[in-house]
Amino acid sequence: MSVVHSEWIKLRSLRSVVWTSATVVALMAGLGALFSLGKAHELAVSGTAADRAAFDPTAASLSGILLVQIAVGVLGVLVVTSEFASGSIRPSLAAVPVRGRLLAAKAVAVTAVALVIGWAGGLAAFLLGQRVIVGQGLAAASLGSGAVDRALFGAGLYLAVTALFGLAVGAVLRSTAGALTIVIVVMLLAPIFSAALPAAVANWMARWWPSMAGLRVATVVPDPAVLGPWAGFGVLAGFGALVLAGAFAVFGRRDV
Amino acid sequence: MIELRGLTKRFGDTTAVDDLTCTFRPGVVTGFLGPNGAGKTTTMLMTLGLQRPTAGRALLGGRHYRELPVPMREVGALLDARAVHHSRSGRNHLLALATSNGLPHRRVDEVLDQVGLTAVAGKAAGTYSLGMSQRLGIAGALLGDPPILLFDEPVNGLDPSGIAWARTLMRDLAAEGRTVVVSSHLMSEMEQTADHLVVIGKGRLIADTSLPDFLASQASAGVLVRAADAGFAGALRAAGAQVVAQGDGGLLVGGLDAYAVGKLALVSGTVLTELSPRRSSLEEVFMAMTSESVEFSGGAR
Ligand SMILES: Nc1ncnc2c1ncn2[C@@H]1O[C@H](COP(=O)(O)OP(=O)(O)OP(=O)(O)O)[C@@H](O)[C@H]1O
Ligand SMILES: [Mg+2]
Repeated sequence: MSVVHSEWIKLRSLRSVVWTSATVVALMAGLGALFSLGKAHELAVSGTAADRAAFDPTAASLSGILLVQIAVGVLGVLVVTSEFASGSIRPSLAAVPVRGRLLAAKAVAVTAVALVIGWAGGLAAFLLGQRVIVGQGLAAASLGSGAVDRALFGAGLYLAVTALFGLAVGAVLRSTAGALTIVIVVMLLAPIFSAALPAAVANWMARWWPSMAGLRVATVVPDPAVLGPWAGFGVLAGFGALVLAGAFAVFGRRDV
Repeated sequence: MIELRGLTKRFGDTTAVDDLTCTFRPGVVTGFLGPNGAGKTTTMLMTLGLQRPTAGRALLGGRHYRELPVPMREVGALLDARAVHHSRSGRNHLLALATSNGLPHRRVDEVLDQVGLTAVAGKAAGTYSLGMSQRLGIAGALLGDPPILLFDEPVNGLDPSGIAWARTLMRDLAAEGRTVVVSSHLMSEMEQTADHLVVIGKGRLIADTSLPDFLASQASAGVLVRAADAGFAGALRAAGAQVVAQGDGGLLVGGLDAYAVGKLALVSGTVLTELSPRRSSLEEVFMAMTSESVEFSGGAR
């Protein structure tokens, strides 16, 4: 517990972390409102009945998560790589020589931040987004329905896994630039470019690619073409757990 | 007490530390000496469990570093003073360290006061001068009030008053019965700080002796003589001494001690303006020894 507290002190004593977290919550809310407006307006103007039936007001208001996840992934990466860059990893590990304990404490601290960002930012985005959607004359989602609450809860979980993935890649690569590249490719670029791939591959990726599958937990309207919310999150969590296990193994053995 | 037993570290085909066996005892300041790349830092990193020995072990009071339940209460270390996140304040850096070992937070203010950083403790560590960083590093080592202290080049970047302060601190820590190991390039500094010396070259142990023994172990450099009569050099040679004329007119005499030289001057009726036994400085002894170690290990010359 004291090691977690120590990691918490390290996080909150960096002004950049505090500011980034606050900014990211605001960004998620702002993007939620914008995306909701864009999508709802399009539907209101030219949507067919089928389009309207497939519209997921909750997911629309949470779509800022696509960008926010990068900030959260970066935070996860930096929690480890900044210690290697500054050399403070040596005093840190001299203070906590059981390597796994230090990495676990970092994981707990960064997970807490990611959950708070995801829940606070998600709730703000949802509330703003639904107002915008109602304003466009469409049916909005409301809190208290099981699936909506699960999606909001899931947004935090999704960001937590993203942060842990960043931390794990950071612990393996130790370099900020390398780890960032991997996080951005896996979480953001691969899903974007999958659309340009042959349909079979694109469909497979939509179903199984960790970040795409994981995002299902932040949706409400079911889509038979892809996994259900918890099955999809399970894929992401399993992937994250594997990478994290690898990171613990490597971090535990290597010279610093 | 730190015991190194056959400690060895290889990086590829470089042997940084080579079968090092020695003991750092409590109650004295041990100077850990060696030229650049001798393996001092690597030895300390292995002692602290930060690097894995290729062979052998380093034990602290009989235990491996990783087995220490509250490491900072047992061992304090200053490695690279700049190894602090540059935008975190000195106080928060120490606070995070103290918290990780469950040390009371008042210790942070105590050590800040002890190293004289209280006034700048709230500033980002990246703004500190090298000397201030060294003090912050020393503060970190002192946090847990440990019986064993390792300092890797602690006076690097300190001004003369800072060096004097560090020297007093090391001596005081040893006088309290702690094991204090200080690595340094400043041989003159060791001469005034250390009681005991462990000298390594190319990763190998060259000497493990008390400071006076270390100096005595080297042949004395001789007696420096300045005579009014230029013919005195001939008289010395006739008496069986080796005489080397110094550029400034002095004579460096080997093979005769000061008494014999004085007596010879009396007999030959010469006035001596200087007669001083020359002890080799630690610097000279160190240079002589480590240059040998380079030859022993077949280093290219
Ligand atoms: N991570 C590493 N990889 C490869 N070689 C290394 C590594 N760390 C140290 N070495 C080599 O091991 C040798 C010992 O290095 P070390 O830093 O321990 O010496 P040192 O006595 O502390 O030197 P200095 O007085 O310059 O600080 C050097 O030849 C160095 O190049
Ligand atoms: Mg060194």
